[in-house]
Amino acid sequence: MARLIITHQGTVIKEYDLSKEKVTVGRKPSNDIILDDPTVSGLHAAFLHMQHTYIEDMNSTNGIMLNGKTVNKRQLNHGDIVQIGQHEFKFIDDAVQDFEKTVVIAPQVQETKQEKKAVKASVVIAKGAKAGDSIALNKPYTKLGSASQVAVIARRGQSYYLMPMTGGAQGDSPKLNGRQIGAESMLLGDGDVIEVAATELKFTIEE
Amino acid sequence: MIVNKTPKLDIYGLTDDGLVRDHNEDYISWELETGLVILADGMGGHNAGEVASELAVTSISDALEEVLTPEIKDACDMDFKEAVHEAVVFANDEINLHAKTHPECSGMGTTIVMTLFHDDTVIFASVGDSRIYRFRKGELKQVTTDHSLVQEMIDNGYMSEEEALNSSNRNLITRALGIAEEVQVDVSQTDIEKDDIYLLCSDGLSDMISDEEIFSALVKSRKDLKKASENLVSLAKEYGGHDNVSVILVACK
Repeated sequence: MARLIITHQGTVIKEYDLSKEKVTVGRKPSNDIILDDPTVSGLHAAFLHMQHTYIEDMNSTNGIMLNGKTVNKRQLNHGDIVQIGQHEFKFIDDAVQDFEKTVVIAPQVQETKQEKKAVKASVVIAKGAKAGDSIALNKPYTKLGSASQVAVIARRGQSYYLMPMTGGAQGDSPKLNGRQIGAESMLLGDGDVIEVAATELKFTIEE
Repeated sequence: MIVNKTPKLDIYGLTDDGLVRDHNEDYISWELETGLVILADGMGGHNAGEVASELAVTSISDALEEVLTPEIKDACDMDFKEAVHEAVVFANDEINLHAKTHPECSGMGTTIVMTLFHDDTVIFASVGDSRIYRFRKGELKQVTTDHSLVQEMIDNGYMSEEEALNSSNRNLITRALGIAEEVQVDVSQTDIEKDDIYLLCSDGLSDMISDEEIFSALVKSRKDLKKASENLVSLAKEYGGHDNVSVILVACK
């Protein structure tokens, strides 16, 4: 079903179903849609409703606008707005309303492809008052430590790396298994011990 | 010494239902402190589109949250281009996971465009047909490539850009987040200049108004991003407003 929603200065006046082939619009009573508007010609325009719907200017004095542009004859698409004098006609095509929405046509995903294996990793505080507390590493980057010293663990695919810290002006860089980390990122293995901000953390990974 | 490495920016964004859709599936977000700006255009029935777009934006923010603090930006020798890529892949995983555990969201997806400003550079990332434009020295340039069927047809010579503007296949996109386990993300990094303006927008803007009209709107009100955003959105609505319209403008000061 195709229809027109007619508005005047933002207020909906009426809804008109396009059930016949030609629907005329104008000031004269002989039209299908009569507009009481001095800027509208006696016979101003016509909606032609066939396989597609068209708007046609019937040699009016002031013309018609489609989506803000003056046109003579145009095919209408769902959502188009035709302006005749001070009235607006919004064209609604219920049949295509759903089609217009974005559709993804991605290349076929290989069925045989294995699903990403869920790898769970965390760091567990090894000593002190919070011993045993664990921090899950479930995001691409996880920050460890506090304002005095920080370290970042990065997840890439199934692997975890301790990021190099370069600009740290507040003393030594964090340690991995007792050695200060340098300018390279370090691949973490199960049981590795990270020291950051005077806290010892044990990295654990399970598949 | 801690130096904040985000360049000085001015940002404003706006999202609107448009005139045809009864709800908004776009989602936008920006942070002035970090220069992280994200726009997503979701799709999928039963309101799943807005679940996908919001999840994409929040996942990316979450993924980068910990590395965008000033002390990390300064202390860590981080490849932010790689970080952006990882964050988008993470968002794809999160959307897939959500769809698996919420059957009503099955089949949802979303486009994404984002920027991250760092030092004197900007990093762009894109999946789908949302766009990023750069306005520099009186010239407007689209800096992302649409992942759409129409763009593929243009690239392969089946269609001219002129013909593409009137194609009825403009709604077919070739990449999105949430439609497969793997996702191909376009990521690039380039230098910024003072007075650059970056526009992130959904196809609700770029399908409705031409690049020339975007250009004119930016020329007219580039000093007032709020006004420029409002002008762009109202232009898209004047020209039909077929889809949700979202714009974010970022100016380098």
